[in-house]
Amino acid sequence: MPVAPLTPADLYRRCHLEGLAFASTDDLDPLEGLIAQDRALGAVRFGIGIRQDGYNLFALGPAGTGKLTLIRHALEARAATQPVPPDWCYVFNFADAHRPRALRLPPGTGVKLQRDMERLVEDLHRAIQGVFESDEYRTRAQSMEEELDERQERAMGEVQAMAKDKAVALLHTPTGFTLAPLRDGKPLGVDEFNALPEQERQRIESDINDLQAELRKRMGRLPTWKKQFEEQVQALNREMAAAAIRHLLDALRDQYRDLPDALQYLSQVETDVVEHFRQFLGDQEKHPPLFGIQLTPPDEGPPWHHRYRVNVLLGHDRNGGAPVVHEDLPAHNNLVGRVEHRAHLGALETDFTMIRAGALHQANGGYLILDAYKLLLQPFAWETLKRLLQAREVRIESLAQVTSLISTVSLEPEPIPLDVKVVLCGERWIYYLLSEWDPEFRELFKVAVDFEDQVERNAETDRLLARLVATFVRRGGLRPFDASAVARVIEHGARLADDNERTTSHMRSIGDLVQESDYWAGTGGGERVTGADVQRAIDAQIERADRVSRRLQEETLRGTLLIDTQGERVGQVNGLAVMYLGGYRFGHPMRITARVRLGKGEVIDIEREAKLGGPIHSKGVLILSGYLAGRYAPRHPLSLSASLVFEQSYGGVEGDSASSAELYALLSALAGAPIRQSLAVTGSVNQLGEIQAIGGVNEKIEGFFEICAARGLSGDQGVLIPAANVKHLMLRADIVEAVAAGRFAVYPVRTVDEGIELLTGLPAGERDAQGGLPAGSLNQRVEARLIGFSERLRELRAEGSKSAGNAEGQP
Amino acid sequence: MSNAEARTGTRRIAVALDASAHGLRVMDLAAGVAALLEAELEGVFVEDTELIRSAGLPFLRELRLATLDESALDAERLQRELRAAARRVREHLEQSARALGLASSFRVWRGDLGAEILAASVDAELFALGRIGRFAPLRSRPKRVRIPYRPGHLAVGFLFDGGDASVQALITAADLARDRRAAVSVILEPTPAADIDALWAQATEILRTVRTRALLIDPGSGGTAALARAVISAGIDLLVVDCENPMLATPTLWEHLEAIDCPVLIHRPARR
Repeated sequence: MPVAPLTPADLYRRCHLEGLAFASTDDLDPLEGLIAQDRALGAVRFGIGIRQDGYNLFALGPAGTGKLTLIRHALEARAATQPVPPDWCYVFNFADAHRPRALRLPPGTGVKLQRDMERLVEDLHRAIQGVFESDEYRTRAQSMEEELDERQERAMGEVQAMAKDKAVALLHTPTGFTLAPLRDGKPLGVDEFNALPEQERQRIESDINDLQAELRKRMGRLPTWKKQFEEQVQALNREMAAAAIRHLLDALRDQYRDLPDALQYLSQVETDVVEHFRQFLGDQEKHPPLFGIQLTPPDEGPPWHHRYRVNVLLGHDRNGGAPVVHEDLPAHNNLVGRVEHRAHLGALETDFTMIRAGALHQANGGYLILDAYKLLLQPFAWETLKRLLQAREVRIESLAQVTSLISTVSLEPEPIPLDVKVVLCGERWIYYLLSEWDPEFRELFKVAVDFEDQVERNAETDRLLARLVATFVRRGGLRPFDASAVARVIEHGARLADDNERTTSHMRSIGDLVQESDYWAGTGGGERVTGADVQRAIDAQIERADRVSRRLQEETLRGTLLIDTQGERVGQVNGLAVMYLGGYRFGHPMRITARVRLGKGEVIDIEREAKLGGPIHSKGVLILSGYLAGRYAPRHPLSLSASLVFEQSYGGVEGDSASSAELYALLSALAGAPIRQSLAVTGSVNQLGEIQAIGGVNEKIEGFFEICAARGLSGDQGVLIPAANVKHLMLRADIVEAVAAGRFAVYPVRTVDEGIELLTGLPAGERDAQGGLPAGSLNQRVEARLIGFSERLRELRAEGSKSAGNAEGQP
Repeated sequence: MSNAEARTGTRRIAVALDASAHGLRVMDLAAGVAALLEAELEGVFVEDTELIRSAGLPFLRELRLATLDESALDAERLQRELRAAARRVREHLEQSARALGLASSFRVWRGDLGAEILAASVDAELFALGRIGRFAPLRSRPKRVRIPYRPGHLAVGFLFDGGDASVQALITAADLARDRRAAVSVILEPTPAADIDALWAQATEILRTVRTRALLIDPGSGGTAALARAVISAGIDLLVVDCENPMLATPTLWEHLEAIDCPVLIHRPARR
């Protein structure tokens, strides 16, 4: 029984919205959340609810399905009920300046401590300057100094007195003291000394030796006295500094009495201030002026008291809930934070105040959302994230430190404990690749949130889609969509899903269409968006992207690309290819030809031989041999040599959707039965001769229709598609109209026999009980040709054997 | 004499220097005065020939202050070290002068410190002299004069006996007090021919003429000891004396300096 063409109703499933009475989207409630993503939502709830290690989430699905929106809403709802994480500050490490200390404080306390410390430093300046300028301090310090000088003067004075008694002078030299004999109040010269009597000379020498021994003894005490003096002064300084600052620190300690870490830090500050009290004495003390003129001090970098600053790495609002952070550039430094540098005297220098938080710090105690693809593109970012999640602490290291590229001294801030739930968003292939190749991935990202990219189309989803359109309209401040416009959007959703029983869950595509429809409605001056505006937006989308498809069509119509749409040809059929360029998919007919002759039972795929055919295409062609061998002349060896080619194809061919067309061409060539060129064919075939579903059926039909329509529809033109693809049909309105008018046809084909009958007009022919095929049927003609090849081959072999035997028998 | 004339009267201040902290302190004080009077600062580094003369004696040893090392007193080494010390002092002087915007010069004076030091001051209107060289105090640091000592605020004393040279010197000293740049105290030292009241009146009149306020001090009887007490009580950093003051007589100069324990600034009227 010949295959009946599909009716217009089979080609396009309209949206009626009967259950949803509304005039425009103004009457619809907006939709919170996404359509039919219950499984994903359940996975998200599970993932954020479970607190154990490794239960981080990977939201997988195509971009634009609204993953991020759903995840963010779910996380924000959860985070709002969770406690606010602590503030983290970095402070100076007084024991090791290169390793700044991390200070954990209750939320909101970090900024307070920062301000308190700034005020403290100001107060310390006043208090310390006051006490060291006091008369008490000066008097006590100078008294100590006086004591030292007097001891020294007294000691030397004793020597001087002894020397004077012996007519010897104690003299200053540039570096010390010496003794010289005197005569008439003046030092004695060498000649004068030598002129003295021997006894006198000996006496003088002896006196001077004695005095030198005394001098040596007294000068030997000087270092001890000086050390004692310095210790006394130091003790005094400590006492005065400590007294000056104690009440200031006590006031702070009282404010932070419940925070042991802060108290410990304040104690360290107190000790350090006492140790370095001179730094608070002002520039005049550090660089004394010369008679009222303040000399310019050398550039010493940041002021000393910067060491008492508090770097609030992370401050929180007490009432803010847990943080939800989306880092859209997940580079290594943006994740772990960084240590900035300043240029000073031609070198780069840094300190703990220049430590900056990364996304992991900001999300600590809450949730961090990252794009998996961007994360993997950033050098070392993925490795760093895994390492920190495993270590459960954030360690700020630059890429240079991680890779050991430089060895200059830098800061090593104390690591901060990490408690964060990471949510990666990405395409499915990324998830599968990571699952397959990265063993740590499955340990760290145990929760897969798999988003549907299609949902079943029914009255309920149609209503939800209508509300989604209303949501887009309201959110974007667009013109209201009337019912026809909403219906057209929903129908286009099914077309995007390539399925009239399903619709897309790709939110971005729907959102784009809604916005563009509003634009076109605006250009027409409409106050509401109508179905015509939506159609115009769809047409405009296609028009913007279809340059290549138009060009192919033009060249076909000009006869450059050879495609017949009328007449009959043996071994030639119109196949249908679908192309995907820059997000736009379109179909185009391609001529497929087959040539046969006697051979060794092989079907040559010229595409494969020329390395233009992909593996799936090659597989499809190899299946044809199996089909021929199983279907025809079972008692004869397959003695065929056939070649198949996509004519005028200069790029690669992949997929098996043309395998049925190739088989039809082959059968036509074998049977010598011409194929109607007014038809085009798509569908893959198996070894049993069943036609199987293919992708892109709508585009393929539209591609052939375009050519036929341009040349003029004859009424016998049409396309053979797999019957399994009927449910995928959402064809353009002009095609549906042409089919309704009987000027074009779409045939659902289940078997090769159904297809070849449509193409050749010949009955395919079924084997009878004896295994014979009806005379004149296409299959009978094919089998006869194959048997003919087989017998001819046997004859040739027999002739070959005979010739070989004669040659061997010759004397 | 107008104020302007008094100000332009002082073109150069010389200061006698050695390598000790005492010498450098006198230099700082002299630099302060030079800055106030916008005069040139001249450093006169003193090489005491008497010290070098005794250096050849083989049994003499030198004990170094910083290291407590001991070595023979070699004349050549001593001279080298004096030259090195002179260089160091010169750098210090130039640095101070640069900071204060002063013109400066430096020279080395070689002679008998005990007998001829005032000869080094012949060309200078003001010559600052403290206890240096072999007459330097035995303490390593100069004694603090005032408590507290405030940098940038000079306290200048002036010894006034009513003579012509003394009047000229007082006018110069008064110039220092203008605009309260330095605190000037006038210590009255009546000669046997004048009584203290007349001297007080004379000093008051001069100060009124030059529109300067100064503290007048009557040290009372007691000679140098009374003067020393007055210097300490007034917190004087530098005592200005005229070049004809008997204190400067060579045989007793160093004894007076030791007694008052304050550097002096010897005023010599400008030669026009």
